Amino acid sequence: MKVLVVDDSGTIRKIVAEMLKTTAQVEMAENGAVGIEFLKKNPAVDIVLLDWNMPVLDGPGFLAQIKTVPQFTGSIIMMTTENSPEKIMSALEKGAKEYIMKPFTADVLIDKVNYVLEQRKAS
Amino acid sequence: MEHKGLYDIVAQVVRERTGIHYPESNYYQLESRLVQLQKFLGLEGLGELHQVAQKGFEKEALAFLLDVATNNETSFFRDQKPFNALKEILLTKFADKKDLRIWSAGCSNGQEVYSILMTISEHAPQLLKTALQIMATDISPRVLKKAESGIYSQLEVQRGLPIQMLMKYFTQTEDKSWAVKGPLKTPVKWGEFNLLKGIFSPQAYDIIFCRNVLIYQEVEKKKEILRRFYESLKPGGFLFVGSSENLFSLSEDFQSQRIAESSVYQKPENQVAKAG
Repeated sequence: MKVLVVDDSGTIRKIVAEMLKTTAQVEMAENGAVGIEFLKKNPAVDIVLLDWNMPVLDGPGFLAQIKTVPQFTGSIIMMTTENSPEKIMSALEKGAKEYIMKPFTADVLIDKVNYVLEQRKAS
Repeated sequence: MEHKGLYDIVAQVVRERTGIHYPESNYYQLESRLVQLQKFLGLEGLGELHQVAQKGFEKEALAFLLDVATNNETSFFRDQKPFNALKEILLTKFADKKDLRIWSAGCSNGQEVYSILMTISEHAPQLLKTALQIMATDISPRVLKKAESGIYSQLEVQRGLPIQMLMKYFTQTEDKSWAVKGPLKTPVKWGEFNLLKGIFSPQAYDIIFCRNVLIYQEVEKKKEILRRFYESLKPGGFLFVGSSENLFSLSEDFQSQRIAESSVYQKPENQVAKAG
């Protein structure tokens, strides 16, 4: 399994990579624009973990632009401190499949990643 | 080990009061609970707690101890598969039922109860409009209070609960916790119940959930509780136990069934009178 972490916090990228090290190959991007460029060249990513607030291109911007990269067929999980129902709903409407609210623990992260992978298999 | 005498006393008290058996090899499971109790009582360390234990615990300390000794971590849709089995059973056996009665025995913080309700709401919503009644019981008043409130922290709602379900069935509170929406709580009755001492209602339930509750009981007490569950089920009713549990050598009354990759135990529709 290949996971791309798109988050401007180096600490978060490192923590997530550590949490997933036994289950996934983890790639990283420091903002949405870098993430989009990465996926254009490497579309074979199963899960994108996407922050909301980032410079250059934020999470919602990424959700809009990823539609121009049809070779990417993976699933996107938001991973953010934004936790209002309105924001959550808007991200789901824009195509995110799951939502992780920071702060979170390793079991939550792994559980959500597995859940999304199972949903994909089932559909 | 340090303070073994303390562990001996506590294990014995817990066993006498709840039937839950902590053998010496599982004393480590009590450690964090004893530290909680020590802090609750404002004591300096486990040594002081040992002294208190030797004199006998007062009522308040005892209640706290039994509470933490029986309280286990849980999540929404724990193990997932039993809820797939519940969906199957609802759709194939109980879809037209006019008075569906379910018992969550050992409901802990309530995640199981709300997971049952969300399963019904998603797959057999007509049952919510009929006389669905869920009895949710636990030995601990503290967890019952939490369960009944239906309020969970941001971390708790991320354990096992898909985000779509969170959006559909919960509202965010002012302090950023999440509260179960009112309609989902309507069919539930909450109550304190000790499986060893309580009086069971005969042939009262269509489905009983008792998951990861009996694991700590001794064999004879497990058998006794299972016998009472059997009596409490209506003919054709189902018993769910934990994913790591089974009734092998504990009860021969139930028919084991494999439903949606889960083992579920059914009380036969037509009971044959047993000799003896």
